[in-house]
Amino acid sequence: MPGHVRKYIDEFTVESRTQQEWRWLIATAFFLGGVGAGQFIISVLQNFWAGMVVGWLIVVVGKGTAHALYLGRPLRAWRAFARPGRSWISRGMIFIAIFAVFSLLYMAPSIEVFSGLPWDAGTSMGQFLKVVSILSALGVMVYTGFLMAYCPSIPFWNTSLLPILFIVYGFMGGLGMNFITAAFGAQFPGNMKLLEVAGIGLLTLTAVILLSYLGSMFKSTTGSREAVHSLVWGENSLLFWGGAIVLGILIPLAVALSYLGVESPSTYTYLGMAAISELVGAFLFRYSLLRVGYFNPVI
Amino acid sequence: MGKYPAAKRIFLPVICNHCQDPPCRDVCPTGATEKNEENGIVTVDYDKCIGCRACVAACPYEARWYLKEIRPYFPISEKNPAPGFTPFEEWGYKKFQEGVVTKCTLCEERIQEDPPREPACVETCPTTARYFGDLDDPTSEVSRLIIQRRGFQLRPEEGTDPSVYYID
Repeated sequence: MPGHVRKYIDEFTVESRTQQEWRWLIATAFFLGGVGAGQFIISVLQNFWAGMVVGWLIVVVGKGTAHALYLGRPLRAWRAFARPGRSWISRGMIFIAIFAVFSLLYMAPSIEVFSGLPWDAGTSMGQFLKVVSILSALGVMVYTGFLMAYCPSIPFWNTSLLPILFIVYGFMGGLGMNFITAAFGAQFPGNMKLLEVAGIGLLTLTAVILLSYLGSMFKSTTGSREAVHSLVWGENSLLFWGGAIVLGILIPLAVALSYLGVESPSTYTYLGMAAISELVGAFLFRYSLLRVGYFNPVI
Repeated sequence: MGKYPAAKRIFLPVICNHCQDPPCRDVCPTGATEKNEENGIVTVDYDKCIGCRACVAACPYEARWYLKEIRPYFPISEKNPAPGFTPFEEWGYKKFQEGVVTKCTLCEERIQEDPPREPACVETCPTTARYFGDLDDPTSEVSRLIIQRRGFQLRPEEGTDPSVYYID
């Protein structure tokens, strides 16, 4: 490249532009996929039947509807299975399809109408369905992170930290949804205190990864610096600080620490409210991530 | 471009770079976006595209658009209460679909004619600022110009190996 052109690039003063196509509907779909899959996995491990059902509905109905509303040609959505060798969307579609079928089969014997089915959690077939359901749910949770991280055009997304962050947010949201499900009266058979401790750990881990992510991106290329600037000081700072940090991390962390080990009828209610705050924050985090999808300038 | 008082205006038309390794193809879940290995052109099959717009986000050159709605060029106004499509628009829009992503095709249909014609932008440019040719042929005019006039690609660090070069 000629030196004087290089000089222009170094001094390029035109602002970077953000991607405009993936906005709140995609943020909703990514959010529901992560939360639903996280809730399903935690519920299976804790044998929380209501949580499994809610998690399944969030992924299959909620995420599916958000995608259908977004697609330009939703009736052709079946074509998205066509390129699993290359495309993370194709892989995600396959994860969702496997999850929808296998987790339903796993849960089916618990429904009275299907109680005669020859498998339950104790049989080898039941164990097989459980493992496939959990693995496919993990795939649903993480594929959106890989999809965004694959975009070389948007440097703020183009990092291996994003799939990790999506996994942590998925489990955190799933945990939150279980607190909400329990707050609505569903009998929780697992160890609630263990979940509270896990929630505190996940919230702290999220804060650490988020800070590392922003720190590493601030030292990166023009597009990622613009993104960090927009989140921390710029037009998306309210979404980030108010939503992702205060609602998404600080409030739930404060409530979880206050009620750690407290056995009272109101505990579920307060944890449920903290979980709602956390979920709103998690959604706003994903939404703000899409809003700061800055392209690097072409030169 | 540049800083005051040495700021300078430059024109940099950006089209689809028909990359050798196009990220838009890699993210496409349906196979609607493909690269013709014979002529190197990256195309979108509108019948396969589902309008997920992953390719729009993945393209480092911002060279793709989502076609939400096909509208007449002349807006509805008091003087034109229902202008509708012009005959030219009606003919031209036949090949497009709503709800899919579109981009520069490098006028593939013109290139495939016998004898082949150049892309419309090359043929109509009044100052001959655009050249079209075979990059694989080291004796072609475009290969020669790239060497002689210090041709460079946009954002080579992305690893996409664009087929569009800019010359000094």
